[in-house]
Amino acid sequence: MSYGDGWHDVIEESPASRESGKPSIEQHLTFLHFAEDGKLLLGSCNFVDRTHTGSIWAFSQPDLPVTAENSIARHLCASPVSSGIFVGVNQVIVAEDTGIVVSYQLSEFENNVVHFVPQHYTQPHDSWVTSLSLCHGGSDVISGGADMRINVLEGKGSAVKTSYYPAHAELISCVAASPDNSSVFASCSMDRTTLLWDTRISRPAKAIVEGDCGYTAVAWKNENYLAIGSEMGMVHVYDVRSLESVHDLPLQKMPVHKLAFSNAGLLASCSDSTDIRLWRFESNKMLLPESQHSMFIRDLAWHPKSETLYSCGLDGNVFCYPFS
Amino acid sequence: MGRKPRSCGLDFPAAANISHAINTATDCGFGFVCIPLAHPNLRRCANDQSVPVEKSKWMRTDLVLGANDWQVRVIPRVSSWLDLDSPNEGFRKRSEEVFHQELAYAHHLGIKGVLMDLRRRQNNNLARHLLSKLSSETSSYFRDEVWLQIPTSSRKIAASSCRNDVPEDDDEDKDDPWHWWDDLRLLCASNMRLKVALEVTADLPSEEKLSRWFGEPIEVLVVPTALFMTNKAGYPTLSKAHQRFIQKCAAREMTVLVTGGNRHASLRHYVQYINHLFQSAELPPHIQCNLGFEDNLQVPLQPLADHLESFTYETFEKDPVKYTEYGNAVYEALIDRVPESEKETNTQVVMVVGAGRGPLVTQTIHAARKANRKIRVYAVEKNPNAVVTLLDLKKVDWGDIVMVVHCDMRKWKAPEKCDILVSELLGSFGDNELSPECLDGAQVFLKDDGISIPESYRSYVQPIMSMRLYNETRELKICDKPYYYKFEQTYVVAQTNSYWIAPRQQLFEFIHPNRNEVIDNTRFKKLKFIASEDSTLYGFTGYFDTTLYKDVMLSIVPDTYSRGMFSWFPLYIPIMEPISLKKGDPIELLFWRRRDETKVWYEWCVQRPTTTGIHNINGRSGTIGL
Repeated sequence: MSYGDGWHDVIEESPASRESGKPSIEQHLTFLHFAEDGKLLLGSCNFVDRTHTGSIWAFSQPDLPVTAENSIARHLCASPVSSGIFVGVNQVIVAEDTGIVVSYQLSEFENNVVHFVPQHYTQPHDSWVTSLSLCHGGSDVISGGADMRINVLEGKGSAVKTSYYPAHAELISCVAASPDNSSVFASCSMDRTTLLWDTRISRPAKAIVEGDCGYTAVAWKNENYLAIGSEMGMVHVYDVRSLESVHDLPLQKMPVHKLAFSNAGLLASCSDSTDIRLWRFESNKMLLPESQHSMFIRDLAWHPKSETLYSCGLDGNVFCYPFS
Repeated sequence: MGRKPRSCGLDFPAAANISHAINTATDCGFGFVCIPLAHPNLRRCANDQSVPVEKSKWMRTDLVLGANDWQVRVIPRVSSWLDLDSPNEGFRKRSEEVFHQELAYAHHLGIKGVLMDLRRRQNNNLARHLLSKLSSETSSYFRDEVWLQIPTSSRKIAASSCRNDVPEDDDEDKDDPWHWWDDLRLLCASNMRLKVALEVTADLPSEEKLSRWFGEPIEVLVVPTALFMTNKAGYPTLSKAHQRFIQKCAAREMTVLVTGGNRHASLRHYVQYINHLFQSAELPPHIQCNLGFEDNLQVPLQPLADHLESFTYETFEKDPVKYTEYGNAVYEALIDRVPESEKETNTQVVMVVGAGRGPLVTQTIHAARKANRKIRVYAVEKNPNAVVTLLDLKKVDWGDIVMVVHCDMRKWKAPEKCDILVSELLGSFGDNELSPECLDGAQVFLKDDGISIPESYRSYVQPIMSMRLYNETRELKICDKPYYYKFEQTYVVAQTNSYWIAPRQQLFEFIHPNRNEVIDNTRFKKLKFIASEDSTLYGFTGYFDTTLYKDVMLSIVPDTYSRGMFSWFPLYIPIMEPISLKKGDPIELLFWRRRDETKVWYEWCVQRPTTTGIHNINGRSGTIGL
């Protein structure tokens, strides 16, 4: 697919704040992600004003308040951004709501000024990308979309290597690459299935679970355990070796939106609500941190070094939750 | 030759700037854009009191476009994350609220139709909320429609080809998207403001299942760019199977929506290709004659009871096929009755009964001239206004071989018997304009070995699925009549939006002259059809064919249609309530032709798989006056 006279709009500096030279983070935050070295990538959008906009922001020290002034780099995208991850310490890929995936290099210029420098454009999806996940080995990226397509992108997300369509019968809500095998990933969908994929075989998928509600989020604990969030608000932990559920957790009331495991085995969940729920794998204990969000939480991420959880939401806020 | 689609639109999964999206689309030859009403990633609650008012905004202002552009250039999509049938009760209720919020906003914008995805078969609660919206108190001015996007084949089956833990499945009956639609529209009482946006998928179902969609109210044909291949010159092109299907769609007024990213040099090429497909479509002859009259109900003419008007005569006299065939029939009859040796001595008496403004008289004179036979013609007509024209034509064109008689043929005392009796009294159902009764009256002045042109005619019926015709019938504005009245009429209608559930079968036959001792034109017959697919029965189509003389035929039956003829559209024979059918179900139709002193009427009834009760008993709703 080419990018040209299609969906890609001319970038507009429309809000007055931009004209006045004071860029600001927009009011709807859609994703956050940490690099290995602790750098934070944040996606912000405006979904309600005359022109819908999207921008990405990088921070070196997330313990400072997440404001435009504290960012080290920012970039205005052509469209709202639905998903973005680090694929290297200074490399990110970002998916726009038109199905375009752009890879950027965070490059330092004179006077320590850092910019997101676009490297590649590709349009692997016909609709917005719901989820990106970096494969073990750090080269391939899995992308899942509202168009029911799953792509394996090679070269850190710069080109389509393999495409599965239709991979599911309805919107693909989440994809997650296995932490120890570059050919294995999980995907879940509103079509009421969660699939385990092994790209080395010709019919690569098999069901981990086929239930009676949609599945909305997946996250790996390690190569053996997979947490699956559902439309019902439940989180099921599966042992992928036996394909058996080992825990069924009523963590949320609304459809689960994102799941994230910390290195120490703490599972964080958010849903179509302002609630954050945590669950400790080792002890099977639930924790209820106080959420300060006033609108739906859209993403969760654990700081790679400290055991600190970060959340962002449609209210435009980033909050952190230190756990000892 | 087909015609262009009504309009071609371009779908945007998200549009950062609506004006830019419209400009992009217009530059490439598209007429409108399809965009999500709210941003697809803005999940929310409607009417959440805890959210401050400045944060409750969920939609860009209507000021980004003029009111006219909203109405003409934009088809909005309802948020795809909504699930009104979610097993999660809280989420289901939230979906209901947001659904009403979005439809109300689309209505505020004055938009004619909104698009919504149908993803699976269970849509019971959605059906309830759709019907509520479409038949709400405010609906007297609320003309909005909801177009449901449905794929032609199941994605579940397509997706199973990726899986190694299930057998490769091609049993398309397992998850047939037509049932998603059928279940929902039946729950919604076949509401006419519910329409289909049919998404063409890479794998097409069987021919029979595909053609079933032609009985559904398809408003939009959704064509994903992923279907296109690239030809040698680099332009987009579709597979033969997709071409065939889209060209069949060209028989109907339809809007096309192109979805998906640009996979070729320019989006313009998709519009050009689709226009080309539509325009080069070869339409079947029974569809070709319909253009401009599609699916509009007309009450059948009653030429016996009423006098036709000049405009009606003129319209029908222009038929290029019908009168030529009548001429051929008269020619063959003259040749058969008068051997070459008698051509100077034998003068054949031809009576044209119901001569109207004289087209059959003219054809008869041409035929005699061509056959080189002598004739004398009586032109019998009851309409005094048409007689004026006949007298004029006699003076100017025909001369003394024509006698004009102003009289009802059933009462006329003919001065002599004729050799050939020519009439054009046939309706869409053959006998439904009372040709049998008229010709039985007129045959007393036909010689014992004389010829009637036409010599016979037959009616045919065929069970159909057509929500459109059913709705056209139901929505007729007829005052002061009981509810069943509209469903007990037959209607003349050019039918493009119907699916033939089973092959047509012959109903009644009439032969002239009728030499039976007792002449009885009442009839009763039971027909049994077998449904060729799961479908919904909305009534029957009636056709006729006629043998004018020997092998000279006229037909409006689709498979034997007289190409180019436009004098007759078929009949729609409604039933009161639609009937769900399974493939292989028997459809038993009972049909009566009844008469009394003053009128003739039909009664009908479906007896199996379920019974409708007898329609039009005693001609209580519809009759033809004698």
